[in-house]
Formats: sequence, C-alpha cells, structure tokens
Amino acid sequence: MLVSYSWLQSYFKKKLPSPEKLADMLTFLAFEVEGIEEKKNDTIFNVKILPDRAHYALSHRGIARDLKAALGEEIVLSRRRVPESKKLAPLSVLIEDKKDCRRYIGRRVDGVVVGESPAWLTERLESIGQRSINNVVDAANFVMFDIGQPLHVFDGDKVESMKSKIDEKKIFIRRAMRGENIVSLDDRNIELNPEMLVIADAGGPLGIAGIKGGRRAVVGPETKNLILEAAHFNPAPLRRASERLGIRTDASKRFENEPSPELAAIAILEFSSLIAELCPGANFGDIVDEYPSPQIERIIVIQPEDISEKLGIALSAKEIADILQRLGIKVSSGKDKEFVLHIPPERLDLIIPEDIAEEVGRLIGYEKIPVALPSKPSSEFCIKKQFYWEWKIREFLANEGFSEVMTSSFSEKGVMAIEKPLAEDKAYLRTDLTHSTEEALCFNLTNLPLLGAPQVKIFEVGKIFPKQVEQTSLCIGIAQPKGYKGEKVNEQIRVVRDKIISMLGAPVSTACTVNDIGGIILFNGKPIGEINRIDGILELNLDPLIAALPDAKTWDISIPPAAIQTYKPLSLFPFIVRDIAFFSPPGVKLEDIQNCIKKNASLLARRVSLFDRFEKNGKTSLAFRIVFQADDRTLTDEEANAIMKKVSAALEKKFSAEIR
Amino acid sequence: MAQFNEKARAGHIHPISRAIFEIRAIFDELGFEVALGPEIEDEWHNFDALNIPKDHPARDMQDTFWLKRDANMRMHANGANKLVLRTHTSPVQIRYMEEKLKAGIQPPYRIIVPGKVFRNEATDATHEAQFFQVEGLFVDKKVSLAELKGVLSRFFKKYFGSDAEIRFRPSFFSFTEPSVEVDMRLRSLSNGMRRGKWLEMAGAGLVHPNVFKAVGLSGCAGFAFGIGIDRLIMVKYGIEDIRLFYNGDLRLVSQF
Repeated sequence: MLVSYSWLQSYFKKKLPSPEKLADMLTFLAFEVEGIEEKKNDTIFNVKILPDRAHYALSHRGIARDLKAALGEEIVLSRRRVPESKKLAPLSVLIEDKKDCRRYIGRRVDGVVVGESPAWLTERLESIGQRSINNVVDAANFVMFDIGQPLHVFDGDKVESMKSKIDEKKIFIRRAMRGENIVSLDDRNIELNPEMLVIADAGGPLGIAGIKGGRRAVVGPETKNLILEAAHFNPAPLRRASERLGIRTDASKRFENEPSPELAAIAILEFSSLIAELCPGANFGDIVDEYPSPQIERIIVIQPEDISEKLGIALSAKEIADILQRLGIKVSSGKDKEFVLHIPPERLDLIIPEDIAEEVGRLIGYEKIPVALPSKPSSEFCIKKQFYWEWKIREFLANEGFSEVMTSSFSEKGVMAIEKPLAEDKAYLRTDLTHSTEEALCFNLTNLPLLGAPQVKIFEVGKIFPKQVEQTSLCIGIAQPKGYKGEKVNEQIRVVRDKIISMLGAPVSTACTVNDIGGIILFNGKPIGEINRIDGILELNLDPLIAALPDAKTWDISIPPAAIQTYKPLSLFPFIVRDIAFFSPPGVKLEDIQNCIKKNASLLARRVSLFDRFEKNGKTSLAFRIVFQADDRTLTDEEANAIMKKVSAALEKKFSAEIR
Repeated sequence: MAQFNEKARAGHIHPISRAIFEIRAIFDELGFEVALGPEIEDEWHNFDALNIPKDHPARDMQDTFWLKRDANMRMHANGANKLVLRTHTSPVQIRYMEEKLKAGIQPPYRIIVPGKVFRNEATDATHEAQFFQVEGLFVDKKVSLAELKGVLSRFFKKYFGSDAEIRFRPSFFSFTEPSVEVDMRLRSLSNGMRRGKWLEMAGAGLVHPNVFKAVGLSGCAGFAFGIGIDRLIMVKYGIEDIRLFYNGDLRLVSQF
C-alpha cells in the first residue's frame, strides 16, 4: 500500500521523525517499507501490509495508531462538522442473508453539486497514486484510504423506486440470480452467478457487493441526490467472487481482509462530514443501519509473566500494561495477577495471548530480546535412514568422479498434471531422471574443454512421479567426446553399477543382456532400475532398496571442502580451444612450464591443462590445451592465434622447447 | 598434474547438497535430527493444519501449484483433500508430530527438514519455481523467542562465520505467533557488494497453538523457522542467478 508521510503527519501535533527514520520505525512495527519516493512536498512509502494486520492497517489511520503506540504521542483527528439529519424521502435496506452481509448502512443525501475536488483532496489522492474523479467519489475514496472502510455511492435518482411507494428507495443485498448480468463502469458486461453477492434495487443489480459498482447508478456531473453505502460483507465468498471475476479493487482487497463492522458506522459519519464540507448545500437523511448481530467486545485474559516467558525477556507487569494501553487496549486486573484486556474493535487480529506477546515484543523491540540456547537433550537421536543412505551414495559417487546435478522437477509429459503450469513444457511432474540426465550430459559435453575433464560423469538424486506416487530416484550418466580413448560409456556404467551394489550391500540382482551391459536391476524379483536403456545412463528406484538396508548408527559421511570461497560467474560468450605440443629438454620442471604458459596466455585463458605426454629419444613430448574465453565479448580466432604465438615464443626462449 | 590421471579426479557435490550437509552438521551439535517429507502434499498438511484457512488472504502469500483433479482422485480416496506441490517444508512439522504421537512419543522434539519446495511464480534471477528450504522445529514444555534467537544466531555464525549478526523484524506467518523475519548482516563478506547490508534470510516464530491443536498436542510450546537454502548459498558465494542451480550445468557444480 502507498502511504503518504504528510497524511500520517496530519494525525500528529508534533513533527514526525524524518521520512527515513519513520520508514525504519514502520518496518520494525511490522509494516515493512519496501520503497520510499519523494513526491512534491511529500514522501510516499510503499508499505507491505501482511494479511494479519491488513484488516486495520490498509489505511493511514490504522498505521498512525501503531505509530502513536511506538512514539507515545497522541493522535489528533481533524474536526469536521457532523451534518444533522433531516427528514428526506424514505430509504430502506433488506439483507437477504445476514451471513453474507453483517452490516449495511445507507443514507440519502439530497442537493449535492458534483464537481471538481478542492486541491487538498486531489493532492492527497494523487500522492498515493489515485486519480481524482469528482468531489463525491473522491470523498468516498479519501475516507477509504484514511480509515480503511470501503464506501460506495449511488446516484439516488438512478436507483429505481418501489412500484407501490414512488418516493421510497429500497436497497437489496442478495445473491445474484442465475443468468443475471451487470454492466460495469468501464462498459463491460459481467455475467453473475448465485455464488456472488449483489447490491440491487427493484430493477436489478446496481453493483457487485464490495467489489465493483455498476454503470446504471453511477454518480456523474448531473447527479443531484445520493445514496451512500458503508457495509460489511463476508470476506470468503467475496474473495471467491473476486477471483472468479478476475476483478480486484482497492475495496475488494480491504473487504477480503475483513475490517471490523464497527468501522462502517465511523465511515458513514466521516463520509457525510466530508460531503457536507464539499457541498455546503447538501441535506442528509437518516442513517439506515441494518446490523443484525453487532460485534461483541473481545476480552483476552493474560498472565503478564507468560508474556515475558514467551519473549524470553524479563518485563514488569507495569511495562506490559503501559505498552498495551498505548495500543488502545484497556487493561484491568483479574484474579491472581491476571490482566483482563479489552481489545479495541478494529483489532480483530488479537485473539489469543500469543497475539499479545507479539504486540509487546514488537513495541519493546525485538532487538532487546537476549540470546539463549536451549540445553542439549540427553537422549540419543536416530539418523534418518533415507537421508543417510542418499548421502552414502553421494559420497561414493563423488569419490568415483561423478558430479552431482539437479534438474527441473517439471516436464512436458507425465502422469501427474499441474493445474496451472508455468509453461506448456512444464505441465507435468517428471516421471524419470533419465531424460534430464541425457540433456545435461549433452549440454555439459559441449563445455568439456572449459571443465577440463576428459568426459562428463554426473548423477542426480531426486523425486520422480512415474505413477500416482512419488519415489526417490538415482540416475547416473556418462558421456564422452568423439574419439575418447578409454572404455565405452556402457562398460563404465556396468562397472559403477556393480560397485554401487556391492558398496550398499543391497540385496538386488541384475537381469542383463548377454554381454552384461544393458538390462534391468531386480529387487525381490521386481524391476527397480534400468541399465543403459539409453547409452551411458543408469536409473534406479532407491526407495525399496534403502528400505531393505540397515539403520545407520553413526554419521560417517565425509565430503571434500568447497573448492571456492567466491563463485566465478559464467561467461555468456563462446570459448576457443587451442592445443600446443612441443618437446621439452630433460630436467625442466612441468610446473615451470605450466606457469610460463599461464603467464603468457593472458587473463583470457580460462584453463591450461596437460593432456598428453610421452618420451621419445630421451626427450619429453608435452601437449597442453588452452581454453580462451572473455566475459564481455566473443573472442576472435585472431586474438587466440596472437596469444598462442606469444606462448610459443616464450616456451622456445625460456625452455628451448621445440614446438611440434 | 592430476589432469590426465582420471582415477584421482573426484566429482563434485552440488552446492545445494553441500549446504544441506553443512546445515545438518551445525544442527546436529544443537541436538536437532533430520526429518523428511513428501514433495506432493495434501491441502490439509500444507495449509489447513498450519492454520492457513481456505479462502483467506494468507494463502496468497504462497503461489501454489495445485495438481489436476484426475491425479488427485486416484491418489486419494478422499477427493476433497486436494493435492499440491508443497509450498514450504512446514507440513513436515505436522507429519513429524503426528508420527511421533502415533508412536506414543511425547516432546521434546527437535528436527530440521531440508527439502525441495515449489512456488508457482514467474522465474527470474532470484525466483525459481523450485528451490530448497530447511525447516526447523523445536517443541518442549516452555520455549521462548530468546531461544529461537540463540539457535538461529548460532546457525548463521557457524555457516557464514563469526561476524554474522542477526536481527528479528515483526512479520506474519499463519503457523507462528509471534512471527518474525530474520535478517542477517555480514561485516566482512568477501564478495564485496553485500557487505554490511541486512539481508532477509529466514522466517520464524513461536509455534501457533492451532498447529499443536491440529496434531492433538497440548501443554507444549515451540519455535519453528524456515531458511531458504538457495539464498544461503547465493549470499555465501556471490551467486547471482538462482536458476543456475537447476539446469544441470557443471560449470557451476564443478566450482564446489
């Protein structure tokens, strides 16, 4: 919500702290200030109002009350003349179901002059990003942003009268009928259904209750007579209707959070006073207030000691009482040092003693809460088996040279479908890890020179959703570049398969092709894994397997420390690979050669690695691979060649290397 | 020169897993054990039992992936209990307490729950549809916010270094009361730009009595917290883009 500094200031006699200080204060009062903007002679805060306080704090006065408690200042309300009621034509209100509408206040106002708002009002509204419409509508909006009660106003002459009594207007608060429509202010035809609540006259809906008004009884320049509305609607159906219609307004947002029904009475008075100020010739009718079950004062009984105990800070009963009184809570004493708290009607969030602990905590300041450590439990606890064995597998595979990856849980096809997916190719939950492993192998293969590895060896442990259940899957994958000299991927998978089975001591068997390469892994005769269905990939359901393993007695997993302190960002630009091979005379240290290459290869060399070495006629042949990449541009071949020339020259000069 | 001796080349543990490994060790010293739970949750465990009622604005705090009905019907005889991808690790609080009580084991309970969670929001450098959280739950006869502060302060100092400071800010979570946001500040973080700034790192609070009520536990108090693991790593190592964690890219993983 946008909050105006000078609007808040209007509640206090004393100058408020500077906007920056006030922003900090609000943040530590529970209203996180996410942005501050200077605007004309004002400062506007973008304040995050969380759902527990939204019923009272989506308003300047609500926030001012909390500020008052924090500052220990008094709030001054501006005094406007409260207009007297006169005998106007009758208005009646009929609430069909009091569960839908707890309170409805209507009031006739005759003889208004609709026109431009005065500068102060336009400024107030514009400061918080609202457009001025006309004095009457602006007055309703002002009161809403001021005290948090949404209001509505109809052109009284456009509201249809009852057939029997021509001068009586009757407002119905009822469910929409099947097939009923309403034309909105922006000329859209909106279809209604019986789950939605409408405000109607004899001729049909005038507005969607608490969400949006209709065009039929809109207040315009020609309007002379008004019907004001201040109501309280049941938030749950209102929220559903607003979601269904895709209409969220400043009013619906506030109604959803259920402001106190008591507020409606205050709002109708303030609305009336403001209209009286803006249209001095207006006459006000009686206030028609349908309020079948008024809000009852809430009492919370607390033991001040409990509050101290929950917060973990010693506070005297008096300190606690002082804080609560500053919040407008009346404190009286009960039996056994108890406090009986009378909660102000607008604070519907205060229900249980824990809520009171929060009020006290935020007002004394959480920074005052000391640090304590709970004593360590005496009993030994067990190690979660699933967690332990997953880690045993990670430890084992990392030692075998496999790196762990994580991939998306979403996929294009599957069994479990997402109701509103982020994208078409993320409409299902993945049914295996094999697909994403295959993609990851492929992708990483293109980066092999950068990784400085001869082949890609990866694994993932994660949940998959192949049927209507989730299971923990392990996938291991190997990929090699063309011309790789070592063992074939399927053979390597076979080796790691045997190793992992023996490491786990898992009671599984394999049913494989004749050459023992492809096939399935069986547990109790049931297949739980597939080997090399796609070359170089093994996937295995870990759940039955781990269930059959023993519990762990001690946590004996170790992993190497992180290789880095600070992450090196990945370049978005392509890399260039250059090889250099040469004979080096005997006695030259490999380390010195490598340092020489690095020194001359410039900062663009991402990796320098020895990839071949052999002896011939007493000389050592060395082959290095250098990978070039820039962070800010695509390198050209010319650049790489020039650097390589420099490297060659340096090697020749320093080590008398014979470049091959 | 190990480069061409393949046998000696060790693989790398994913930074998320590495963080979980380190988190486990830190909380192990404080007597917390690891608990786990499913990634597909029912509406009751993910929301209702955590005091997040239907048709309530509190549900908007978490953009939810609901699973389609047909998937629901087959998985649960009770079709009314809709299925979601868990939006937080907090339902494991409920599952753990239910399980313990069923086995006749009363508090104290101390658990941490590392795991993957899901939010239905557009992805960018700081938002992913999937990410990791670690949940903490401590239940005993009497529990205070001071103890919560103590445990979290210890955790952040151990994970980031002794210069890590934390502060509490009032906040709202349906399942805790009072609720706080936990900010952390590092005076000497090596990756520069974040040094000295308060960073939002966790949500926490005292367990709301309705949560205990939902599992049928009385006469207890507790604290709970949820820390974003991705965020921990991003701050610790200066990683700018959360999406790097989940695209299988070894250029990231092999730095760890």
